[in-house]
Amino acid sequence: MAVRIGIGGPVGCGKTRLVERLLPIFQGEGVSVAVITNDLVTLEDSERVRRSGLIDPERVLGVESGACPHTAIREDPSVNIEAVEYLEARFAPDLIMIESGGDNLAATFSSELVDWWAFVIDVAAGDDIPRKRGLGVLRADLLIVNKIDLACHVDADLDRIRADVARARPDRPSLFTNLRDNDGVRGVFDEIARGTLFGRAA
Amino acid sequence: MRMSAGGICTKAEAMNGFASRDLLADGGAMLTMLQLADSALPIGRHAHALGLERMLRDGRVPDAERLREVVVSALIQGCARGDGAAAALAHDAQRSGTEARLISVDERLDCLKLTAPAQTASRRCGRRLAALVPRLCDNSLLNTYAAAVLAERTPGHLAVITAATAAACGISRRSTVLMEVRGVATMILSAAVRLDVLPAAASQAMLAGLAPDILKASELALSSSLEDMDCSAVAAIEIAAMRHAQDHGRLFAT
Ligand SMILES: Nc1nc2c(ncn2[C@@H]2O[C@H](COP(=O)(O)OP(=O)(O)OP(=O)(O)O)[C@@H](O)[C@H]2O)c(=O)[nH]1
Ligand SMILES: [Mg+2]
Repeated sequence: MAVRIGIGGPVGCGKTRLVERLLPIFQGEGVSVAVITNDLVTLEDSERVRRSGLIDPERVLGVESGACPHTAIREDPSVNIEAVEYLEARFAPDLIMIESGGDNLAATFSSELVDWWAFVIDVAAGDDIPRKRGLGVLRADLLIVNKIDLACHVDADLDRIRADVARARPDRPSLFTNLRDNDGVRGVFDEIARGTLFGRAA
Repeated sequence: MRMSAGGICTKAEAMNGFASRDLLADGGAMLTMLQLADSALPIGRHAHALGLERMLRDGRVPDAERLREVVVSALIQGCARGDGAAAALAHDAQRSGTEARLISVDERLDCLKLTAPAQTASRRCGRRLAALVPRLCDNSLLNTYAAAVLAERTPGHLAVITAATAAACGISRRSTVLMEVRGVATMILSAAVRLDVLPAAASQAMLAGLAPDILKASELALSSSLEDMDCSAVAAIEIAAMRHAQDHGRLFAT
């Protein structure tokens, strides 16, 4: 069975960009991957990943969430589970990345769907997000604070975010990334490896 | 609260009505029925809107009255002799104890699903329920049938596996059909709320007002034989569903 990882976070925080940044790293490490995207406008994200040239387009599936992005990853993940089973049967990948639809700060992934999940937030969307204590921020296996390159343009105080994140997640890892310039992605891969691949190697 | 002939019953009557004997007799079946009808049942129903989204885009559902008409035709012209009848016949089949009869109802229904989106939605939700069945109910015929659905030896339409589960859990034929028919109304109305066609409280008022139509469609379903089963005559919905399947930006899978 493939390791299943979830990538959640509000609209436009950089989930699809993270998928695109991780694909070459997985390839370099010899990890075979498939991707599921959840979207209100499904063809958008799945088509983008398909066309990226980073992965066999057949290994990318789009799931339509019927205007309920959090339902499709939490209350009723059956449609996503079906997509996972299809990809496993067809390609037997080592790992499947599941991008959730852009959602609110309370979105979490069901443990029936994923083994591990990351929640991505965007510093330009407000440097007070970690203090709002959304479940996504609190519960994710990894919190990714993205778009740090934009912090100076929107007067976001990175030190304050760092302190707030440490308080909100005293015993869970967090990483700061600039996915535009591919900065910090290796650290995300290492966390995924630590959280899933190695633990399940046996 | 129970209703007596004259309306809402008195407290004393209600207390008597809830004597533990009654509860033991049909409480278990009632609980299963509530569970099968609950939107929390994780079988992906939320991903389907029966063509409503496309009709909305085409300006075919301008107001609540038109929405109500859509629901009524989906009930009477669409569901009654289709999913509703299949539910009644699948209930009989499960009770009769023969897998072959369940499969023949399922195959008949499969021929009657005119559009690929309608067929796919019903099969997919059915498969997901089949996967859940072993955790809901311990019945050997039902589990054999659910395994046949998962192995794709039968199409696995939702109405059939739902009714088989209901029958196995002691839900009456009438209740099973009522639940199936009501499900069509709630599926459209809940999609309508999410698509912002009408507000939630108004949708509940509409659902309550649809009771006579739900009952009428259920009567039709209950009196249908395998030969009476028929495909949906709701051309507008079917066409919208087909066009929806070709849309680019859409919220619902079908
Ligand atoms: N400056 C900057 N832009 C970024 C960064 N990460 C992503 N972006 C841009 O932000 C926009 C949204 O990124 P996506 O990856 O599409 O975001 P998403 O979370 O997948 O969005 P939805 O799926 O619509 O919820 C794109 O224009 C990206 O190029 C970053 O670190 N810095
Ligand atoms: Mg995206």
